[in-house]
Amino acid sequence: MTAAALSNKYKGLGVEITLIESEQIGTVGVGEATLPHIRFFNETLGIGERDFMKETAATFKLGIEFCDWGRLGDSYIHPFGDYGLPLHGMEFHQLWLRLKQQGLVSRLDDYSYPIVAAEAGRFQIPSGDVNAIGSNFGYAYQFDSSLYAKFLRGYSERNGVRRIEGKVTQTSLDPETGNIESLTLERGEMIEAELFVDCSGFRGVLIEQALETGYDEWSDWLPCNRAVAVPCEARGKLLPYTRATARSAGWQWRIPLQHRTGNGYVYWNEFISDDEAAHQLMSTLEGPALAEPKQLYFKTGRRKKFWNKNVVSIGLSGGFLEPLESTSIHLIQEGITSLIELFPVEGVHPLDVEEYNDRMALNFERVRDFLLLHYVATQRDDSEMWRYFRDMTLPDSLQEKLDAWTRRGYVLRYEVGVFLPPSWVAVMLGQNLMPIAYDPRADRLPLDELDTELQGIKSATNDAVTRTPDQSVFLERYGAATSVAPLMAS
Amino acid sequence: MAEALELMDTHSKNPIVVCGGGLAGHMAAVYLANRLGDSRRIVFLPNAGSISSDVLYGTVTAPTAYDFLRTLGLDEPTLIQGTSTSFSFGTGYSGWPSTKSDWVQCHHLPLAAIKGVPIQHHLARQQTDLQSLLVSAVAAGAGRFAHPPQDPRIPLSRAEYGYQFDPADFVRVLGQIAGTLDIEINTSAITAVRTDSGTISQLELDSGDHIKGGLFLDCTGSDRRLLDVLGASFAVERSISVDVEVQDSPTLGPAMRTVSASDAGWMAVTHLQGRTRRLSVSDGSRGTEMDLGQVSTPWVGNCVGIGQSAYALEPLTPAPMILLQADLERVLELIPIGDDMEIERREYNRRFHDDVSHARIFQNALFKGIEAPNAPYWEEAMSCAHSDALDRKIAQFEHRGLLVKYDLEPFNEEDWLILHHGMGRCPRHFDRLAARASVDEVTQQFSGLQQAIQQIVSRMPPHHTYVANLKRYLEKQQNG
Repeated sequence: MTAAALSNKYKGLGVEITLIESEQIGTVGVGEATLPHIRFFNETLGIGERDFMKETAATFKLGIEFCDWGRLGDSYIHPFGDYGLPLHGMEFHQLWLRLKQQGLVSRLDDYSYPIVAAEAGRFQIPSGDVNAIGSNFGYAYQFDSSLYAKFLRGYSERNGVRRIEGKVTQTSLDPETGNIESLTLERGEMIEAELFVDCSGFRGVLIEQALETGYDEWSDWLPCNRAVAVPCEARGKLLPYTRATARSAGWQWRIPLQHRTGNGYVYWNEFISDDEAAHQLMSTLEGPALAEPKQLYFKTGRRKKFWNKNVVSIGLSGGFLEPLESTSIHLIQEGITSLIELFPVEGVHPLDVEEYNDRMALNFERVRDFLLLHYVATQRDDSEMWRYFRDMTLPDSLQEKLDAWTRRGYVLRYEVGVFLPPSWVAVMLGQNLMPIAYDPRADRLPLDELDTELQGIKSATNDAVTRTPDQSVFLERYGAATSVAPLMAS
Repeated sequence: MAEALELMDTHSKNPIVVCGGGLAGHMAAVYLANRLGDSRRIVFLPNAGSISSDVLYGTVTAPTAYDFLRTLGLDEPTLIQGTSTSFSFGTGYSGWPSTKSDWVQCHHLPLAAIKGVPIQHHLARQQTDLQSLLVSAVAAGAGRFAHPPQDPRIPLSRAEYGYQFDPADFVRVLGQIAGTLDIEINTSAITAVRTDSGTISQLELDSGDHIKGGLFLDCTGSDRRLLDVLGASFAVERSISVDVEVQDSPTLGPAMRTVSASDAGWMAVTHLQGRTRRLSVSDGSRGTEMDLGQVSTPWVGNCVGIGQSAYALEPLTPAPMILLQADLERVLELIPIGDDMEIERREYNRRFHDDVSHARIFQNALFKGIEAPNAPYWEEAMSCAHSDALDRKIAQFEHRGLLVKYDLEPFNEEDWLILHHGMGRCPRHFDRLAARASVDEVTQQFSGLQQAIQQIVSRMPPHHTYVANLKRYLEKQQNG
């Protein structure tokens, strides 16, 4: 992604870009689900949606379904979009809370077009009429990340990126500045550069192995430290959403692509063995496995400096947060966007480095709080892991959010960060964190009038979904159906 | 759930008591009455404190006030026909220390990026002045005004405007509006504020009445009648002297307030219908002495300080009015639902500190790094202009034209860009992507925009003519 974005931006401007990658080192293959921001990334690169979807076997994504998080047996969808419609200058959920306390409404999800459409397996591009139901939502994709990497590699090379197949075996530092001067590859080739972007994953070949930047570990808050991933044959209707199912020692993902389904189990090894995790994953697959399960080890946290000396770490080399809310690719995108905005003009300047690090640190911290919310907004205490979260002291930033919500359905806002208030509302209500009261402004309207308005929205939402085609029909009609063959079951 | 309903029901019977009859008190009473309807009782004590500190609200609003004022009943026809209010494209700064030329700190929508690169990088590369590319700045300088049209092809559509106003006018009209709303107005004065365990239990009035309430709003300006009793400390940063002169003026001046610097401080001239208002701020040789600063916690117990009772800034930019609006929006969003207000109090105070510090860094940017006259006013103002957040903004802009953004700032990126340029701050480097457009191409684009602006401004009427015509039009409309 970085090579593609930089090559698009700096084509013809005298910036030489070299991409070093090795076929021998596979990609991690988690993070196949994205957030709506990915569309902007592709658009900026001039990548057509249909071509991209065909090449990467992508499906549309309207949100994430969370199963068994609040209580065993519960489920809700965190949608990419607002609930209901703006009414009377109030947040929709406040009006809903008032009616809920009178016993006059059904679940909040029924007032969300993307949720109702997702549950029905349907999809269409948002309507251009901003006042219509079916316009106020975003969408993302679920795709094969190794195919996406291949797709972007081709894009980069067409844009003048020099690609070298090989592994970095040695780094040479400038004794005075501590900057990386050159890399030596397995075959002896030496690569010199002014700026290095470390996209080497968890190992952090440059940022950590060479520069020893250090890592802030967040395992106390997000202790899951391993994952096991495996693709399987797809079964049933092609659903436009990712699923995250809570387990006794972690959670399991399901990502439906056009040609297969991605699966994985993220867990805390303190409470489950690798073998048992793999067994649980394999025994809950919807179809035959298409590969051997792949084991991953990680530490949640972030590099002490994302940008250190003349090395910028992007992706897993910069930090890792479990992919519960599909933020892995988004954080890559944030890193790239900031790098382009702060791209060195006459050598690396400390102000660029400082700004980059401040921005990325804030992004990571805010995502961390949102992920942690899923573990603590719960009534579960049926295993050691859930009891650990029940007894946890939360970061102040998160505790304040929870307090304000449970008191009156108020969501503390910020501007810089990926998850806006509707996302917080979705998770808190979805996990049964019902406020004891609501915003008194909701009392201004006569109850029966409000009831009629909300009934109208619910019924219009259902009507709009009825007119929406199944995702598989839409993909075909849209010209985005893939010809990528599924992997062969072994 | 039944418990919650009972809680809200019980608490809603306790009124919100608005104390103070200045701008903050009138706005608070009318705003809350309009937005809460009959879900809360509002008791308004307009004679609960002096209104002398209203002068620190200044005389200009930002464009964001438009919708807010409408919710108060101060829509544009009311303001133009019923008060001395006029339009404002911004504030013109003249003779400001360390600046090479005067500039209009105008209200403007974002300028279009060229080849995807923000305008400031092209300005740095071409060494071009920003002011001639801002239609609201050029029009204000030429004394012209017209409402910005919707059509994006017309350069004037990029302009935004606020108002030049007299706080006393707003108070008068809001007083009339308050009389038509479901507000219990009590004209008695407060004789004593009784407290119990850090909260106000009741107010005693000179009529012999006692007022109890669920929430008290201290809108008594620098008197701080309620906050003082609750022990909220006001940290004085520095003091200034403020003097106001009003002169009749048969012809309305430009749609722009002007601020001129002198050794003693600065003077703002506001062009209102029928009169000109001159406000001088200095080190103390003339006028009323006033303290600048803020309270540490504006919400204490069951009392919230609104406006000048919570903070006092120089009226050098629209910041004081922006903050007053923010106070009211904040308190509305956090109207308590029970006697335990800890959550509301904590969130209100957090947002208050963010808003005030963001507004202050914008004002402080006018003093940061300048070579000012060797005089007490300037020395004190400059000595208070320190903050890491401001240093970061200036350093990043001067380094590479980057506009650093914090959460939910009251001044937007365009405000900052115009201010940096006005203060003569130039980026040392520009984004190399600016080279995507050739120098000639950008020169042509700039010159095309400058010409289009000149043309449209030359066709715009003088501010006074526009206002006179607008009033005639409104009158005709109203008479059917």
